[in-house]
Amino acid sequence: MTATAIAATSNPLGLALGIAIAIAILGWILILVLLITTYLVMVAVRGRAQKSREAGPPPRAADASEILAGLGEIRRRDPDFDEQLLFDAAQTATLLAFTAISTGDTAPIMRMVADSYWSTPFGRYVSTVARDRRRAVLDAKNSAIRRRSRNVPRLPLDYHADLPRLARVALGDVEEIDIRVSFSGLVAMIARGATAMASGAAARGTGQAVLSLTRAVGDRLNDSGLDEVSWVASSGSYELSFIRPAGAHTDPLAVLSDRVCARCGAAFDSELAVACASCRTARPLPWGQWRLVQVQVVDPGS
Amino acid sequence: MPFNERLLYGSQTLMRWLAPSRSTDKKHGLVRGVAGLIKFVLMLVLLLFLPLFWLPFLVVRIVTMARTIKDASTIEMKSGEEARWGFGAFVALPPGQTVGSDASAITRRDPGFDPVALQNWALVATGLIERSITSGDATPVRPLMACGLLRTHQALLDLQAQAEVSCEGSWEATGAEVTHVVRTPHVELVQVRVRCVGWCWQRHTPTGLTVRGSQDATAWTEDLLFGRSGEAVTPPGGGLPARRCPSCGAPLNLDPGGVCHYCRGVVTAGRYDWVLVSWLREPW
Repeated sequence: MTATAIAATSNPLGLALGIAIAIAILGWILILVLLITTYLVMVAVRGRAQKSREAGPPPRAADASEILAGLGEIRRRDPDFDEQLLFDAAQTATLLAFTAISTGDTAPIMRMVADSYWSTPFGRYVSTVARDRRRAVLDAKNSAIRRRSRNVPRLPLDYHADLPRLARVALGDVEEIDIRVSFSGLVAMIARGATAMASGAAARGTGQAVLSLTRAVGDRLNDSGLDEVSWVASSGSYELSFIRPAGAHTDPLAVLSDRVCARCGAAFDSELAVACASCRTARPLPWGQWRLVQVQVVDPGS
Repeated sequence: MPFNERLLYGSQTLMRWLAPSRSTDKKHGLVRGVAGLIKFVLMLVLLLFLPLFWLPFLVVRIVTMARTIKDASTIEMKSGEEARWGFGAFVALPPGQTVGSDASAITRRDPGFDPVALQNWALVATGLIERSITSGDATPVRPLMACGLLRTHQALLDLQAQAEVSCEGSWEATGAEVTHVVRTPHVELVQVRVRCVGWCWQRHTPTGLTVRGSQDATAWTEDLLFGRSGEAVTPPGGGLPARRCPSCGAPLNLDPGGVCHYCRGVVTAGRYDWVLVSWLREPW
């Protein structure tokens, strides 16, 4: 018979205490099991993800004559159509994804994507990292209020998108155009333990990630430590699918529609603004009815 | 805030309250001693039951993290010096023919095409880019950059301003050469490599920390890629390099959308003249 059982037979207080201690011990055991299982699952997930990335998605033939024929057909239906508009949209979409990843601000990219974008692995990643970044910004603000820290989140330093190119044109119930674009972005981190934090953020192996993050926590707990600077670069090559309803027409003036507020005439003071600063009218999109629905990783050389 | 996070932050707040206070307590010694003892016992109880507060948060966090790790394979990440010095490494243009043969093909179609004029335009462009970057204002490069590039350039300047990252510097182009020419039925591209001398320094204003570059003079190269529609021809008035509208020939006067004040043509879309479609500086 266990001590808890003995206590239980003695008095109700002993029973309650016994149950409480059993729950506490069970909790600690659960945490330990959870952490060990997590580590093992992470190793497996990361390895599988890496393998699937190396294998890449199935190659899709980009037949130049097919693309030309598709473009010709779209132009026949919509004489003002200009693929340059979608190239601009592709460059902007990757920049706004970079914005969300580095600052946590998803409002600008939300304007130009359909709901299905957030179900893609890339969309999910952007959404999760952006949420974490917003939390980090909030934590940093709260810490600053308590005068414990003046750490700042990621500082966007540079961004570059290669020249986009057409990958596919498909006409059916909807008009669909795939654009290939590569981008790279650079952010700086300023914090105690920034080097370890950056290393953890970019770690390729789970072991390396855990070690780096542990080191970062140690550095951050060290009150006498000084702020340091480190960098994180992100890059990728993607095929972006844009769709619009069949029969939609391009408004030649749409390209200018997001420069000045149509309601009050005020200029949009920031490229990232989603509404007019004066009258709060939503900012229109310069690419008409085209929406980004899908993002697929591609091999940079393909 | 979700329940799991409220539970965790609640336990943290409780822990902070139970932790021994450093502030001077005006209370009577005995009262302070009893209160301290109660707090100590409560702290031990809290520590014992900490898993109950942490478990819901940990489970949610771990599930999210596992999914993030899987999704993170969609993006390539580098850190530290590798990231700092790897960003901006020049990449090759899509495969084209040699500079000479494609340039000849362009000249046959458009006798006014002059690669030297583009080299000179690139030298001017470098000055305009310098003004734009150091002032944090995209206006100087408006007559130069294609709509998409201008949009991303402006957004990057906005992001840097939000993050309180300033860029100071002074540099000039000392030479330029055409390094790549590509002609397709749809688009013509000319890449000009520009040699620059000067200094450029990015720093985080609140902390004063340098995030990139320095105030020391150095040399670097920049790749400027000019593009235009495969049907465009050199405008008679000299076009954008001569600060004339390539559509109507009037003196250049553009609105924020790159539209000519006189003919309402969108002149920075590359339909009428060469525009800068990509700009990249080697790691600095």
